[in-house]
This record gives sequence, structure tokens and C-alpha cells, in this order.
Amino acid sequence: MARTGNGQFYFSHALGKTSRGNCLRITSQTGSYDDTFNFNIYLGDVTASDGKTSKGCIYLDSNSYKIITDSGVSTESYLGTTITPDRKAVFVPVVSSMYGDKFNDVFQMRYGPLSGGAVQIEGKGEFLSGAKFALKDGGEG
Amino acid sequence: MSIETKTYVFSNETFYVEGWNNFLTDLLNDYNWEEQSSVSDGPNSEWIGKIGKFYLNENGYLAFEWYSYRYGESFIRVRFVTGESSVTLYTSSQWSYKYITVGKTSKGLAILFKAENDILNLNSMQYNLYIGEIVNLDGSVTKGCIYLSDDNSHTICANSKTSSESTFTSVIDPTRKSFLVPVTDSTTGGVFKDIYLMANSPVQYNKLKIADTGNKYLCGKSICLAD
Repeated sequence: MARTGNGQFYFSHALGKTSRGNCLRITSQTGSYDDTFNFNIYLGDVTASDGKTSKGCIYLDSNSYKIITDSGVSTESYLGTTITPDRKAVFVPVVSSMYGDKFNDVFQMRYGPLSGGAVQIEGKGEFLSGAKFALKDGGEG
Repeated sequence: MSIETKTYVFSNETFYVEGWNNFLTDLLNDYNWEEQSSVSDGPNSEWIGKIGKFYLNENGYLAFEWYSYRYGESFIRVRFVTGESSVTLYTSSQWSYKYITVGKTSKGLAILFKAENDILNLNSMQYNLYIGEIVNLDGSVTKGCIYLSDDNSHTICANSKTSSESTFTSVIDPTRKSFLVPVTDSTTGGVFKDIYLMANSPVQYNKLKIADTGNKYLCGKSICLAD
């Protein structure tokens, strides 16, 4: 995580990296730094409905998120996320409802045990989680 | 099997006891319930008509009851009962008209329970109870049910346990692709084989056929049942 600021505006940049892709937290605000790992950009491989693979990007806004792929830009609604260590992890693939493109290794956390950190899911491997999405790591699962 | 639906309407004034009893008897034959399932008389005069006990496993059953503890007011109630404890999934208001619609596919049931004061308000596909098979983490398959509330929160009953699940967003838009997410019990990790959250769906309250796959679904407000 990197921080820059002039006393009025505070810029925070965080980079998360796994073997499957990248995620970033880029924010600017007044008053203080944003030191969370609530990543708002995810980069990873996408499989289109015709089977072709390419790179894609997800940008998380406050009330919706955008999927950017070779097919185009699609604005999506969040399914709804509950962060609690008391439940099983329930991860849902990220899919462009406009074009049918599906991210191979980025998931919406319908239920997640924690946000902003690395999480090991029994039988599924390791993930780097933000507030709502998680990025897969490693070769299993 | 093609998708079949049947609607029952009951009125407070005349207590359509025979219709209620017929509904229970039909339901007994509409699904492959566990063999202890039964339709029998209620324990006392507060129960109008018979009581249906529909077993999801050897210890847990859905109880369908119509009872009245005040003259002129009657209520339909659905409970999930395990041993000495029970969870009430649905209690109708005392409105005059009570509707039940049973949607049936090759994979399970979708049932609407609703009470209204006006017979014109009926939307027969606002299903709030779904019944189907659930695959547990150990690979075993059992029967389970989902009670869907108006705010899209839902309660899952399976393996003698209940799990309250948080609300979710369902986008109904005919210009988008369908995106159906299997309903998952976040307490046990069990996943329903044929019942899905409609994260994105072109229709609700209707039958849906996906062009690319030919798969068919019976859609309620935000959850659908495969056929």
C-alpha cells in the first residue's frame, strides 16, 4: 500500500496479486487516508460464451459494478454480500449479464469469512478477498 | 414431465374444508415425500380440516395446517417440525380469501401461500415455498425446502436444521442474459440441485426456457425451479 497527500487530499493505492490475476484499491478522499484492502478493481481471465478466453476488468462502484471485456462494458447489480466467520463461504462466479462473459478466477462473495485479506477455503484453495469480491490463487480448485 | 400448476382458493366464510383436504391429498401425490408422510385429522376443533405432514427426511417434516382460535378468523400455517421443536415458516393473515398454487416440475415443487381480501389480487406464481433435493458437503442427497420472504431473505430447512439466509438482489431484465445461482445453505454448505436464485432473469412469475441449453424453469419472484 502507498500513500500520498498534501494535508487536504489523501491518495491511497494498494495492489493485490495472485497467480490468477490482480486487484487494486485506488482511492482519494479528504481528511485521512483509506488504509483498507477493499479492492475496487480486479483484473483476470475471462471466458466468453463461445469459449474464447481474454483479459477482463471489474470496477466496483458503491451501488453497482462494471465489467469491461472485449465484448463491451456491462453494468451489474451486486448480488449481496454477508461477511461472517460463522458461515460456509459461498462464492458466485462474476458474469457479464449483457454478453455472457464469465471471469475464471474472480468471484462475488455471497458469504465470505472475512474481507480484505487472504482466506483459505477447505477443498477450494486460497483467495484474496476484498469487501465483496475475491480473487483465486494457486492451481487447485 | 411438463410444468404443471394448480390453484386452490378458499374462503373464510364457508371454510372450504373439502377443498383444503383435497389440496393436502393432492400434495401427498405431487412429490416423492418420505414414506411416513400423511394427511390426518387435527388434534382438536381449532384445526379446520386435516393436517398434512410431509417428511423431508426421517426426522423432519413440513406441517400444513389450517386452524381457527377465534370465531370467523382462520389462518393457514406452514411449519418445519423436527422432534419437539418447530419453526413457523408462514402464517397467513386473516383475509377472507386464501390462495394456494402448487407448481410442479420433474425436479420438485414451488408453492404459493397467500391471503387477500380481494379475489382480484391473485398472482398465482408468487411462489414462497420451494421443495427439492439438496446435495450435502459429504455428497449425500436429501430433500429440503426454501421459504422465500418478500424482501428476498429466505429460510432453508434440510437435514433437520434451519438456516436463515440474507437477502439478495434479483434483476429482471429481458435485455440481459439469464444468470441463475444455485441456492446454498450457508450453515451446512448444502447446495440445491435444481433451485436457483434469479440473479439475472428475463422473466419472473412465468415459465422460462433458455435458448442455448433448452433448459426449462418455473420462475417465481426471484427464485426458480428447474424442470
